[in-house]
Amino acid sequence: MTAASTMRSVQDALQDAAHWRADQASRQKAEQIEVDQQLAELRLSLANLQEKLAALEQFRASFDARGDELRKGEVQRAHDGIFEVLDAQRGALEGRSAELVAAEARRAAMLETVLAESDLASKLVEYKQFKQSVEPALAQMPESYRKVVLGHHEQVAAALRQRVAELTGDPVHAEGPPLTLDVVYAVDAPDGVPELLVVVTPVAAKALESWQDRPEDLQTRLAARVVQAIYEACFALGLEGVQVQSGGHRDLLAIEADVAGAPAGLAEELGRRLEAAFRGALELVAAKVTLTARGVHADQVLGLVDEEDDDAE
Amino acid sequence: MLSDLLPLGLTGAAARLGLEPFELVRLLVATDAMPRDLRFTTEQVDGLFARAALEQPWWDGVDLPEDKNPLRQRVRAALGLLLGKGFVGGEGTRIDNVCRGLPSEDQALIRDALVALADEGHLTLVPGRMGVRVTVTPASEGRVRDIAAGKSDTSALSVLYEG
Repeated sequence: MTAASTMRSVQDALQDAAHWRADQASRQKAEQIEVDQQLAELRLSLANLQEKLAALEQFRASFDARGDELRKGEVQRAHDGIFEVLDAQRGALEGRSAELVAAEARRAAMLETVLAESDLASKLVEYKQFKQSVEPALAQMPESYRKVVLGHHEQVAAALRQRVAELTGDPVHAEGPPLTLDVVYAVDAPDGVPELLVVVTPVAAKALESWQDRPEDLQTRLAARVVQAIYEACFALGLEGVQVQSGGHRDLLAIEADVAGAPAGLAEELGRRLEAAFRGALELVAAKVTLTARGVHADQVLGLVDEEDDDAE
Repeated sequence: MLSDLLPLGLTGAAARLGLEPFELVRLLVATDAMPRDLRFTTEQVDGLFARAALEQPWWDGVDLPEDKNPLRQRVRAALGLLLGKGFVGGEGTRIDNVCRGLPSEDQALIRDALVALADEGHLTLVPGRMGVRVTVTPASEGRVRDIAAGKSDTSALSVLYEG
């Protein structure tokens, strides 16, 4: 009997190789599926993380915007607060101003009585006679006579004026309590270079209207001291051509000056000059008014400019 | 009646000089003459008049030119006075000298007109410690004469005359 052939054939070898390959391929496929699955899971995780990252970055950016809103909010609150305070001070200043105008009028009215009882009584009589009877007829007089009459009258008037100046040498003193008021100033330098100087006062914006037609009052004098300080500061820094302008800002007197080209230090110089002008003003001392000059950021005085409007310009 | 005997305050001194009060303050600071009590004698005020090159009002007896527009009438007259006094080139004169003594509305009109003409180059404004001076720009003398004569206007003046 022929033994069953146990020798493998080439076909067997080839089949073995094919089986091996199929087996390996199957294993690889399984591994590939597992790797693909892991990749998909990681990609999903990454997408989720990126989404979270974007959300957090957006939230983080909102803090910057909120910080800017906080800054703007503070500026606006300061602006409103400054003007509320100054407006309240305006009322007190108006009252003190009216008190002093009345007191000055009373003193002026008493002058005639005081002069009539003094060693200048006869000159007072001459003066009044001139004003009532002679002055209206001056134009009709011959020139030579008119000169003599006027010359004599001027001598009489000069003597009376000197006595009046002595009698009214001190400013009228206020009887009310001391007032402490503020004047707020700023130098606007949007690009770091000064452009505009502004001072806001507790003086009513309308206080200087028709100044020729009403008695001078404390409000006018306070404003004059502010203007004095502005010119002193500007001249000290070489800004000789500066011109102040005044107007109303929320019903309060604001005094401004174009200070383009001003050196740094203008705000500090202005602060010093304001303090000195107020301290040295006898009329303010007599009025029992103490003024404090407060330097602030320009936005707090001028208010915030609407950025949309700004862009539109 | 005794008000004439009282010392002048700031506004009294300003009125006497024909200046706005704040312009008076400027002059006082510029001449180091700011008083501690804001009171002035007539001698002090009259002295400042000379030091600041202020002039007596120009407008006494001035005949306004014939013009249907009263605003243009006044501006033409002001330019005519400026030319008539020889302020062409050179240092010129204080801008407030041009309108001293006029009602406040006329003063404002003339100031605006002078500034408008300066913006257009026909007048020259020279700011200084004692205030702003104005003069006719020499190259524009002919044009300014024409404007004073009513022969032409500038676009800025036309806008001003609309009121």
